Amino acid sequence: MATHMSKCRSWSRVHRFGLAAYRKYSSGSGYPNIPLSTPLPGIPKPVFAAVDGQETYETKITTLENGLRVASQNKFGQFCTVGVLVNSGSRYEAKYPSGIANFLEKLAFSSTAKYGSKDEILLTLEKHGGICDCQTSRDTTMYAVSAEVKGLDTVVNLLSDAVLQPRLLDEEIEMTKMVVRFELEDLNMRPDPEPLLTEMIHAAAYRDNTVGLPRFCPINNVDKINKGVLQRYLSTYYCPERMVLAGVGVEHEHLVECARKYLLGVEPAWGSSKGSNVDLSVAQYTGGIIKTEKDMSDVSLGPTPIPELTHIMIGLETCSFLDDDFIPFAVLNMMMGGGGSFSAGHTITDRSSLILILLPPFRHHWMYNATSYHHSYEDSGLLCIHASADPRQVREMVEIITREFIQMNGNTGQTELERAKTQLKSMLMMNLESRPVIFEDVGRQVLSTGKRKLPHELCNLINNVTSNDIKRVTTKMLRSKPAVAALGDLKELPSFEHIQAALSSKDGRLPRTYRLFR
Amino acid sequence: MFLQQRRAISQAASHVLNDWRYCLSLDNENRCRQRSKTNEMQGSRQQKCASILVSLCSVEGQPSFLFTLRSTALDMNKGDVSFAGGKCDLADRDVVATALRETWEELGISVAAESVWGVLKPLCHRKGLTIAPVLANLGPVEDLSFRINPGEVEDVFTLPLSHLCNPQNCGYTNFRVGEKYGYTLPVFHNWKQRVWGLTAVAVNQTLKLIVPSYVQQLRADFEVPRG
Repeated sequence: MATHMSKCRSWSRVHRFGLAAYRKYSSGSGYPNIPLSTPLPGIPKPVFAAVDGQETYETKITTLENGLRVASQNKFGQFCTVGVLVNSGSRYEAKYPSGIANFLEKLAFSSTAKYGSKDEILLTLEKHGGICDCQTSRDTTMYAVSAEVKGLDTVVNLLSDAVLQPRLLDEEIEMTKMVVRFELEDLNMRPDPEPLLTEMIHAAAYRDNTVGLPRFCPINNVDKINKGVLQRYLSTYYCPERMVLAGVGVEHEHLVECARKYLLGVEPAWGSSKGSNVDLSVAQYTGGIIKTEKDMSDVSLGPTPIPELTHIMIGLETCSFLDDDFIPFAVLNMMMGGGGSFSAGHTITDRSSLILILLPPFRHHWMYNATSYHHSYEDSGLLCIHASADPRQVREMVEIITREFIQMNGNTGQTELERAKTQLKSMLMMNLESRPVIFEDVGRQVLSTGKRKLPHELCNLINNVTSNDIKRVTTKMLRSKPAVAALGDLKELPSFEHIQAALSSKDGRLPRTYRLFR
Repeated sequence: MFLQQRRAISQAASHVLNDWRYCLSLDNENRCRQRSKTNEMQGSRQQKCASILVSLCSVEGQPSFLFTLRSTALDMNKGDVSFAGGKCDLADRDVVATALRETWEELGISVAAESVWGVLKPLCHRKGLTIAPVLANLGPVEDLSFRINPGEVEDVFTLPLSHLCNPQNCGYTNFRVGEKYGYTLPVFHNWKQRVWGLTAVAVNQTLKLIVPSYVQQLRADFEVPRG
């Protein structure tokens, strides 16, 4: 577009002022008229990097004698990302007070047997240009370090210490309690309610079990968690069979050697791990509704205040990521897409995303945001649509969402499907260029399946999705009971029975209600 | 430790294979009738009471359970796997009569009173409803002709006992009540849909009764507490 415009400009100038006014924009006169396919004279010939066969493209996996799996993916570069992933998270907390995973995340990389404090750990890593971090989710806990490859030995030593020998001192636990309390307050005050809504939709969809258990520590439990509870949990879930040591940018043999040195035959701080009382609960999708009445009128006052909004999330059951139908659901989620109506720089090119069509300036001026999310676990999955609007428009908003769900079941155009597939593939490949993302992908796949599907395999699976697949998975999804989470001023919210009826109907409309006073 | 348990169970399972056909034999039937006599519900015409027909049958000689898939048009528990059954009517003589009436209404088959082996221990539903599982043997499924009521039942299917007793197809889910651990319910997997909730509890209870060497591999005893 830019070149077209400049051509216009120069042509119109020639046209107006004659050839004399035609001026070259470039001041260099040395290399006129040399096409880009010919090398410039007098300049040294460039040497390009070539694929010489030393780059290994497959992920290598070794299982040690104690059950620990070591997986690595080599990558060209001076830095590597190495970490330990554990099959532990809020979904296993049914028989414990909720919030242990949250505490462990904040307590990670604190004082251990060999390192006196978090500062010592950070100083040690600094020598190798490294950083460390811990992230927990509902089913996985990741301890990761990114550092120079030369420091691999120190890094694995540090990881083993941090995971298996944390000291869990009283002052650290007290500090963590403060941090957790602050985080909870912050969550409640944020203008973006997405983490709160995610908690609520999971609690509604998986009532009282596994994945529906709260991921953030409930405020009443902050004082119930102490060293004893944490150690009891750690001794059950932090055992070698439930762990993977993953590395990206490292030599597999070197990593295995470090693993044998630091992770084999090591006695953890809480005594030997028993691993016998492990909660093998299957996630049970129940459906249901969770409402939180909240005054959202003063959420973000300031120079550009956000209007008062009510947020709704409606979800349906999909499938686990181990299922064959997972890829069609991912394509479906991509087709739904979505975003905020005022997200900077976002352009909507004809029908690139069905949900963005709902937003201003296309159709409904009052809809503030509509996004679709897909959460998937090893035994179940949840596709949900989050929408926000003015409290007076809640009923219309809910109806639009239910109608969108029903329309997913209609005929998807071939262009839309191809575009969604291409978007999904390109997002996948782009994300997998980043080393921390490769690390997480390798770790999670090996943790849940013992193998890793390479990116090109996933691209093939995405290519094979047809519109019949989309129709089939949408029909399956619409058979499940809806899960609804609602936050804000809920006076106009339709009842759960009405929402369920709308999702079972042919057109997705809510049942008519007659009210005397509107 | 867990691996050893699983090995023991799979050995027991292969031994049990010879016992499958025994499950529906007259010998076993009499034994089960005897055992279930102690479960007679007192005051069978209570207000909030319902009953389900836990249907045994045989598919090509293989002892199996007969399940219904609830219609997605229903409000309660739509699309779930269930047994035929419903709330007790005042006109019903007892829970057995309720179960047989509901089976006739939903599936269009009439089950003779002699096919009923007995009543199992009642199950408590979360909302205070008491459900009585009535165990009956419908005989060879090939001899039954169904007239399904589409408003209530979408599909009828069978699962063999051998499938349900295979430890690979059994799971469990721990549930919380309030902020503490509450109870555990069994789950049975198959390639189509899961059997869970009170239906799975009824299946579990029945298996304990009729399969002589059924090993309760899961430590928990599946009981939903009242209230």
